[in-house]
Amino acid sequence: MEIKKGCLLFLILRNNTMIFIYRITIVIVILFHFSCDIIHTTYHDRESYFAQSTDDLQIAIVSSSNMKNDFLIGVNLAIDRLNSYRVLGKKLCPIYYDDEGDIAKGLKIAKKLEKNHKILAVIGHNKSEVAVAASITYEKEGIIFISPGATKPDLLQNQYKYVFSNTPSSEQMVCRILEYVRKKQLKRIALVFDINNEMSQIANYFKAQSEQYDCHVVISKSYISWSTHFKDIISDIKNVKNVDALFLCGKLPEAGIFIKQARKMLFDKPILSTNYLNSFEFFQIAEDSASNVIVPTYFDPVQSSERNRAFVKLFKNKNGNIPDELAASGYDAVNLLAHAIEESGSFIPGEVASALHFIKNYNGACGNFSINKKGGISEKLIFLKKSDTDMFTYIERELLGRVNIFETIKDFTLRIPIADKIYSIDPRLISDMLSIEIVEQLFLGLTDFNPETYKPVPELAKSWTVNADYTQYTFFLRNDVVWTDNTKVTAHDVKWTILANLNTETQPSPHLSSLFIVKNAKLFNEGKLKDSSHVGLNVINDYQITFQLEKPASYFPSIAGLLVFRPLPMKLIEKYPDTWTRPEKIISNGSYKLAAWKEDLVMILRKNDLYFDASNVSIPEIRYLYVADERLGLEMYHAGEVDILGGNYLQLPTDQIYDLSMNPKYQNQYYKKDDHCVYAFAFNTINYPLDNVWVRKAINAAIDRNRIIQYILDGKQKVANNFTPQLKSCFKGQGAFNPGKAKKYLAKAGFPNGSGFPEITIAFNRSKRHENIARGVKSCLKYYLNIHAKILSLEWEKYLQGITTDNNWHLIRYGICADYLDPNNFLNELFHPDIKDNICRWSNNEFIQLLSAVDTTMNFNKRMHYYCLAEKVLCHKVCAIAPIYFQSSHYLINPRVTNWYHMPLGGQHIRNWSLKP
Amino acid sequence: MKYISITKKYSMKTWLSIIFLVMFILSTVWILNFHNIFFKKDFIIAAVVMGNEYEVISKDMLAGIELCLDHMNRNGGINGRNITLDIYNDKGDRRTSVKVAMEIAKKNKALLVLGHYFSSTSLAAGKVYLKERIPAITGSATSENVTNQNEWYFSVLPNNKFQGEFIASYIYSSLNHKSCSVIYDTDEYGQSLFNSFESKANILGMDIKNVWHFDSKSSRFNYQLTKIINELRAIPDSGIIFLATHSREGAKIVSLLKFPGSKYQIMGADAFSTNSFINEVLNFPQEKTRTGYYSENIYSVSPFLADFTNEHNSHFVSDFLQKYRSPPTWVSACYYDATLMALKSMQNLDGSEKINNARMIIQKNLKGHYNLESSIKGVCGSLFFDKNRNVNYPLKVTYIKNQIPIPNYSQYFIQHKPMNDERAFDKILNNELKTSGNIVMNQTKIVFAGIHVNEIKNIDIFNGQYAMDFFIWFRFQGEFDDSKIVFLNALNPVPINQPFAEYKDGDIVTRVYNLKGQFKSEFDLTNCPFEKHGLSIQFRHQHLTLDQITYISDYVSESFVNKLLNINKLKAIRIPSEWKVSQTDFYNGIISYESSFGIPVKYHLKRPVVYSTGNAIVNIERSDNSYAIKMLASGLLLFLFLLVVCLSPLKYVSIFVYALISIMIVSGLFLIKSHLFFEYQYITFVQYIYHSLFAATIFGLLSCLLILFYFPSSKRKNQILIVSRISIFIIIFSVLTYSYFTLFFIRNMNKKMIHTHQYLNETNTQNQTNG
Repeated sequence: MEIKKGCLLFLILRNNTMIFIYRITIVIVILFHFSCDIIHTTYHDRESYFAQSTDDLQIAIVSSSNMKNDFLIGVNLAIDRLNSYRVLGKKLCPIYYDDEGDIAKGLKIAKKLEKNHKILAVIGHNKSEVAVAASITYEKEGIIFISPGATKPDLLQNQYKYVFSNTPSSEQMVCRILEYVRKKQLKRIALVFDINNEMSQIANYFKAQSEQYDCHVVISKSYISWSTHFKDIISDIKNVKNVDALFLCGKLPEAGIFIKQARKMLFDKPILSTNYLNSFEFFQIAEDSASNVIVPTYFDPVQSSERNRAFVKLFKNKNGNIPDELAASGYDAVNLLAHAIEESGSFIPGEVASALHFIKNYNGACGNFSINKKGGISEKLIFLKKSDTDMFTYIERELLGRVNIFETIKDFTLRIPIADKIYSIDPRLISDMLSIEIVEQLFLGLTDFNPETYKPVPELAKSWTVNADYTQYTFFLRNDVVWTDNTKVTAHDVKWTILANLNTETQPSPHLSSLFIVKNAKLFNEGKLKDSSHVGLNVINDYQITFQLEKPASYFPSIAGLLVFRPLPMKLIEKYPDTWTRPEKIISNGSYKLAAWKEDLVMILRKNDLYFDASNVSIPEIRYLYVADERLGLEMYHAGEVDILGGNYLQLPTDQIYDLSMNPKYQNQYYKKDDHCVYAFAFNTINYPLDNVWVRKAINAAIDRNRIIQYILDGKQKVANNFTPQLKSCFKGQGAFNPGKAKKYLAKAGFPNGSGFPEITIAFNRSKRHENIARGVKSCLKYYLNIHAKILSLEWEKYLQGITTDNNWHLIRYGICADYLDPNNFLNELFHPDIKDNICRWSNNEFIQLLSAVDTTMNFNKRMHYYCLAEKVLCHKVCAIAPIYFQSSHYLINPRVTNWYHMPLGGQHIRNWSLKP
Repeated sequence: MKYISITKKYSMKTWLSIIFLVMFILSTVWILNFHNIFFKKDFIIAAVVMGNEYEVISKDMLAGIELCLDHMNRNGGINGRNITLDIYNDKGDRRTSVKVAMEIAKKNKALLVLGHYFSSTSLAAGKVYLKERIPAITGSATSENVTNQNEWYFSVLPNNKFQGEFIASYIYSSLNHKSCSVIYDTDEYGQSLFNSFESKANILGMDIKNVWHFDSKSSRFNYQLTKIINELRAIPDSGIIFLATHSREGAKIVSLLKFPGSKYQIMGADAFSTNSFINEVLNFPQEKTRTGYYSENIYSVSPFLADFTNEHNSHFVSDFLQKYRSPPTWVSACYYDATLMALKSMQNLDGSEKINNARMIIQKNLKGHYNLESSIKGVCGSLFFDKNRNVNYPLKVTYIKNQIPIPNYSQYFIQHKPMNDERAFDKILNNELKTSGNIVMNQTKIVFAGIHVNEIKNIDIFNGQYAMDFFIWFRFQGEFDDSKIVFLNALNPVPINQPFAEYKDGDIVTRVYNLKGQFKSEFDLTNCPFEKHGLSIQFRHQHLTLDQITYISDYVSESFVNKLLNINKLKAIRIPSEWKVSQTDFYNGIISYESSFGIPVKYHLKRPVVYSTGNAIVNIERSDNSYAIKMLASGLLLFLFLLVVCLSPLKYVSIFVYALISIMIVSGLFLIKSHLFFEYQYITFVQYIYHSLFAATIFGLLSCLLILFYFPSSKRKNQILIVSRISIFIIIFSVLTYSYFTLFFIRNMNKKMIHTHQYLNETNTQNQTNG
């Protein structure tokens, strides 16, 4: 009791007034001290704490529970990931708050945080108004504040040191919308906006910028935030004529109600809006009317960015769903902070903030961006979403961004492995099937082939007419075809290209002979005719051209689609004759355009938006990946890294074709398709001893095609007893292989049982398959005829060169695919003894006469009869060539590729294929 | 009170009702939820066999099927469900087969069908299976049409097309005939055999000199045959004659054509390697009275021969012998394979699928076996389907000797990835590699081998070593480097130098060596001193693997060799007097090694290298009981001593204790000194005796000390002492009974399994003798 009394006496004056005053003073000072918050953490306290502390880093995460999103999950994913290896040796310790999207609550949290000198940064306050309000406190207290959701430009207008936003501002998003408007040529825009400050600002910005984007606002209406009836506004808009689209600048729920009412009032134009509508709530409000609404967004879960993919994968694994944009930007905000700490090498907020200002080309989950001096982001891609009745789908996502040859967006890209480098894509110079495949995507022909009937159908030409004797064709060109520089493709381009191809000064096209059907073309090519106006080409007008032919040709429409007839950009070629096909220069007119080309690695084509039928082109990007090894290609296919194997692309390994065709696992992926191709060995008819027809006949009869196909090619091709696939029926039941006869023929040639026969050379272009076949032929010659042969492997260029000029071979591999379905393509264009590239170096009057007879015959059956006779001269009588097999293409097609079909004449119609999501 | 009591009564009832209701609900739920576990329905597969005159074939079919099913069911079935066989009879008749197929479809229980036997019945029933989408697997129908247009029908033996090509290749490449004549039946079997034979012969460049055909159903059949035979006889050199006929017609042609000393060489298809062919030939008196009068040296092909042992079929042969006491025919083997394929294709089923889905899964799984890598290793060969759902594996070529099909001297083995060899195409053209259908084969040499042991000496049972003097002979065609034989269990290399004798019959060589060597075997001493030992000689070729050389037990020329070498098989092998030979045996087997083929970087990719082996076993046992008496005498004396001691009056406790101590020490010393105890992982019978004595005496001593300590003056002390003495004997008998069961009873069971090979040889020998 004594002690208690003493305590009380401490505050009650008894005798000593001085003591009393002294004590009262202490109490007042103490009270003052606490009431005035004397221990308030200052900016400098925070700086000095982080300069000395070894504690883990505390960061505040402020979510807004009134907004349904995955922000916290995204943030936590980033924190977990960073903590697994720590940020400069320290862990991130998050402290969670919820501002409920309310300014007062946001400020309260900010006040609370400013007192805590251990807080390095605040990430959150995703509602613009809250972020703007709280930012002042954070700036004052030196707390780094990154808002992953605030888009209002006001947040950054003061160029604070500590305040950042890692999302594009609403102005940036408006610009993206305007780009879309320009692209879609939506000229007349109606503008409706919420009268509140933020929305008014956006609307004004839209209005101000619209002129720059080739559009103008024809009507502008506003409404008050709590409005629910918009009929008057809508009817006003409807009364304005020729409105192309509506830009609605409002928030939910009003904007949703507006759209609902607009659609009910049959306003069917596209409605453009801000990212405030990018929410599920929108569909709940607008219900069935929520269609054709386009909103911007800064996050696309399918991008080529490595970080983006890693994040989406991580998120999906953890939560099972695709992350939303706040999850991604929250994830980015945390990583951005960590990145700045690492860059600055310091934990002091001022230094970290400075480092943040200097971040350039940051690769985040939302994509690439840089931090600008205001603390916002720039160089960030903004995507567009279009609403259906119940969900948004991304639109035009594929055409955004720079081409990155190392990163493929699987969802948009058709990945095709190729066996060889692409040497050229100049349609005038190419002859290999792979290049032809690519040129098909880049350049339009006057005609194309119907994939079912293989008959010519219009492409660049919309129609054509022919005179009675099939010697004059007039093609009417489409007037909506443009080059990729947006200039029109005209009949002059066609004429210029054909004449350029006939020009003797330029490198001759391998398909030059196809042009000789045009009147005087051959004479012009040979220099015998100087005046090009005498060549049978007559441009009637920009979209009409007439072809005068040397001879009647009912098949000319098929020829007119060939490479040498395809118009090329004349001005460009004249300016850059050798380099015009480089990606930075090329101009094309096909369904795809060249986007990137690294010879030893990849060629990338992207959809040509200016292609006349672009709306029906489904696959945005094609990547031709140089793989070279067939087995590796197959492994890549199994791993889902490529979509198509086989055909003219990287072929299936021969020894795997049987297994793949039999394996039930691939029964919906493996396809065998007939081609109009033949695999043969051409004889050098002037080289001893093959200058003797009996020797050639002996060799032809000694090649055991059946066994070569069965054991070397795994039984997956068809024996060829003649050369031209269309003339198979003329040789029915006549097997070319007959070892008994072969021996007799050789004896007739003066080499009984092969005695005295010199060693001969079998040449082929380098490939394991060709080598195996050549070995097979060599074995047959040894076994059946006792003839020794050596095999000669040639590089592609040497092979091309050697095939027409060299004489160091006796047999050479000769694989040919039909350009069009008339025997003229093979017999006349390849084997006419008068052509320059006479591979067999042969001459035969009977053959020439038969082909002449064909030229003068209009009757189909008679023509075929003459062709048959000519073929027999070629393959039997003179035996200038030894056919081996008619080729079939074997494909593995990833089931995600839909609408796929095979074009046996080459030039796959990728424009008609599509990819399953 | 009354009211209360009524309430109580009702309450009790209510409670009981609730309890029963809950129990009922629970049990219902339990039954509904767990019926799958406790009421699992069996998987049903249907087998279509033939009754009446084809009963023998039906038995063969069922034997193969049931053996495979038994094995699967014994091992837990498929996902815990047993497989039940639903047997149908199509009587070998087309119409009945359709009815049977419709019945199977109507019942809608069978997941798949095994059968039918004939191509005709399979074709007819196949239409039903195709329509109803029921998978069917035949192990006997060889017409290509059975499977060609029917994606639900599978065949597990090479079809006629394959067979025709195979026979042409074999005749040309292995029998070295460059010309031939053909007689074929115009029915589907004969026609398709001929067609494929002809096309292959053309490719190979073989000259088909004459072709005759007949219609076995024609009334002029006999006339046709006579005409053919007359024409054939008129030709000076017909080449080898290929008979593409069924067994009945084949037997008739053979009987018209052949006679002792005739030079006609005949090759038939698989029909000639069935018992049916021999039975048909036996209908002729000449064949009955003189074995091989017609049938001798006729070549034929067969999907299976029990003589060929490999890692996949050795169990099948031994299990079959054990179960059916006769060697398996190719029909049994093929239906075993068919069942095996069926069961493998059902592995994914858990029984919850709808039957149509289950059938689709089965069909898809069957199609999943499409190459050597995905093949099922069947008893006839590697089973995988081509695009027409037929299997292609090399057939075995036999020739008939004493009415038994004997493997010919060269056989074909399938080549894995033959085109990996750059020279493969050359080899195909040059016939170094044989082709038939899509498969590429190489040739393996068959060497018939036998061993006759003359003398065994220096038997060291503790080290398992012994010296042997024996004759070894090899019968082969052409060349065989027998100096490269290595004896796998020889202590030192046994040099093979000069042959003891060599006999040639054309290009068939029989070479005999007299060898001596020291060998080692694992001796089993568990039954010591009543043990039996198998003294073995095991050899293989030093380099040539199973696909290059295969040894086959030569029971054909054994008697010939015995006669030539003056060996009296009945005469006992010279052996130390304390041993006697109980049985001798020779069989072929395989031995497998893991190898990286000498490539260090491929060490982790070791693959098995399999060699064919020849194995001779001489089973010996002790000739009298003197050794056993010697071994057991001391134990017996100790036992008698223990008995006497235990019967001694209870008051001589100290004598009892001393006696127990001395028995314990003696038996303990024996155990310690026993080399056997330390050298082997197991306990021998003689050790069990001393163990029992040792354990019993220790027990006696301990119990005696305890009784004396705890009950020094108890009245019940004596009674307890008596009980403990009786317990001593109980322990002894318990240990000995245990040893009997573990050593004698169970081991005898195992021994039956081990000796199935011997049985096979015995059966073969018996067949030969009967012939």
